[in-house]
Amino acid sequence: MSGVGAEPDPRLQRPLPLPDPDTAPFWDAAAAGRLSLPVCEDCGRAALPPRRRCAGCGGFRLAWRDIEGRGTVESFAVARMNLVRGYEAPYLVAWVRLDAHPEVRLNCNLVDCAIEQAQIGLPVELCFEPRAEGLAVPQFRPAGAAAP
Amino acid sequence: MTAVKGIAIVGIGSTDIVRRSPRSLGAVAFEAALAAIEDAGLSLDQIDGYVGSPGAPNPSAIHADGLDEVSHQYMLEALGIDGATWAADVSGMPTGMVVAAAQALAAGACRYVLGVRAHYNPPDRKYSESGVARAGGRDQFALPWGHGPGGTRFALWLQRYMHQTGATRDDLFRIVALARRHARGNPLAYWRDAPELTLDEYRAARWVTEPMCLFDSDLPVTGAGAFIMTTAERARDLRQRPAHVISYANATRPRRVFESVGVQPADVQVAQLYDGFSPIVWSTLEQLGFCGPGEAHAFATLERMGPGGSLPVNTFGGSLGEGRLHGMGHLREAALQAMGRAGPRQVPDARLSLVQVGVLERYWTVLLSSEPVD
Repeated sequence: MSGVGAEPDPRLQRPLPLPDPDTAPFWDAAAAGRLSLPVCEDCGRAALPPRRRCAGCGGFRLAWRDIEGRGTVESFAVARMNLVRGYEAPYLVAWVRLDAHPEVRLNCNLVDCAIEQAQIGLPVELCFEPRAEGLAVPQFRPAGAAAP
Repeated sequence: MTAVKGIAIVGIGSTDIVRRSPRSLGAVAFEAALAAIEDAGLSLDQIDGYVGSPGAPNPSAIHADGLDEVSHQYMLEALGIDGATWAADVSGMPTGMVVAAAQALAAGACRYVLGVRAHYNPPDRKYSESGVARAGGRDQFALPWGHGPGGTRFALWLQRYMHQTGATRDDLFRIVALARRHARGNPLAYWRDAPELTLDEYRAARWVTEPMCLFDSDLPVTGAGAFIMTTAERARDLRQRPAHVISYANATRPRRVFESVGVQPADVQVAQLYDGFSPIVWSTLEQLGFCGPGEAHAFATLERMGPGGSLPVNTFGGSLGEGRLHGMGHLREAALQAMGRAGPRQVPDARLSLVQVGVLERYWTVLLSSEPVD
């Protein structure tokens, strides 16, 4: 995977999701660089974790749809201890609320973001972080930040 | 129906609470069970009901029955109880155990219920460290981003609460200081002999998940608690004065615990509120209606909630002061207060004794009383 002498990417050591029949579409989309969520065909409400019944209108018709990846930081915290494999403290954990679906709050990290830059209300945009086995996880970085 | 009639807690048992133990959790739970049976003045042969809550909550748990968890099957077999007519394990809350036992007793499914909750701090590895390489189920939407270990969601909740209300960490200090002050009156508490926590010490503590520091998390320990429940009628023939279970409610309708018996939060003399992480207490005070939304940080003063205050909270030191028994310490203290057996910590005329265990959106609250409800 890595060239001779290259440092192994520590992100490839991070915990992997264990996709199941209910969640595989989310992870398949993430691996392809898309954010996909089950959306209610009746009222338009999205859900994560995936649901069989809409929490808004009670409808049963949900279908996977790609979601536009802009959001707003609802809260953040700075992990200062090494408690999870592949994560080197300090790092930012955050809740991001999707602009297109404010009913959905995602657990994520703020990436390409200095700790001092993190704040509630910060506009962020979707990006993807590679994981082992060809998987990827959706992440968020400050809107307009250059890709690394 | 969340009002309860004719059900009581009639015995309490506890082990020592230690940071780590060479014993298995099975051995620790066994000791607590026998202590509760003895306290109630019963014999093992009279126990015909059992309720447990085995789940080990630590990210490093191996979930081995008898080692770091104890199931109802394990305990019944270990104790040699083969005539049980009702036994169940319920999800991780001692208050939920009380609710289940009350329902079983009210239905006549059994006569004397033994409840045991035991908690294990593994001696050979870090309590909060996750070695998990793959997260399934609901965890797949948290752990892959490092959410979970270190109480991240409580730190995230706290950051937003402070942002919205103007609360500060110096306000939060009072929750921790309260616990440490009360712990000094509890011979079981890990911090029983420690001096009171100062604001300077709190400010200097290392971060775990900023804005939460080390002292905002309870301390992983090994220990167990147990209780005996039966009907109020049978309780009359037993050794101890009973703590009557008069109502309960869950997190979706938390104030039902008061409404169903026609009381107000202000009518409560003493409350034990789950404090596995200090910010949870603020959330609970508001959800139960002890104060309004966004007011808990100003409401929760040492004067009000400390010894001699108008609403003493976590009079045994809470998990922050006693150690992490995952709410079993809270239940023990609530029962002892309602029984009038809390010794130097006893709140005078503690007629209504409240206990809440669980977090943010998932918990059970139980109201105990020194008097039965007619």
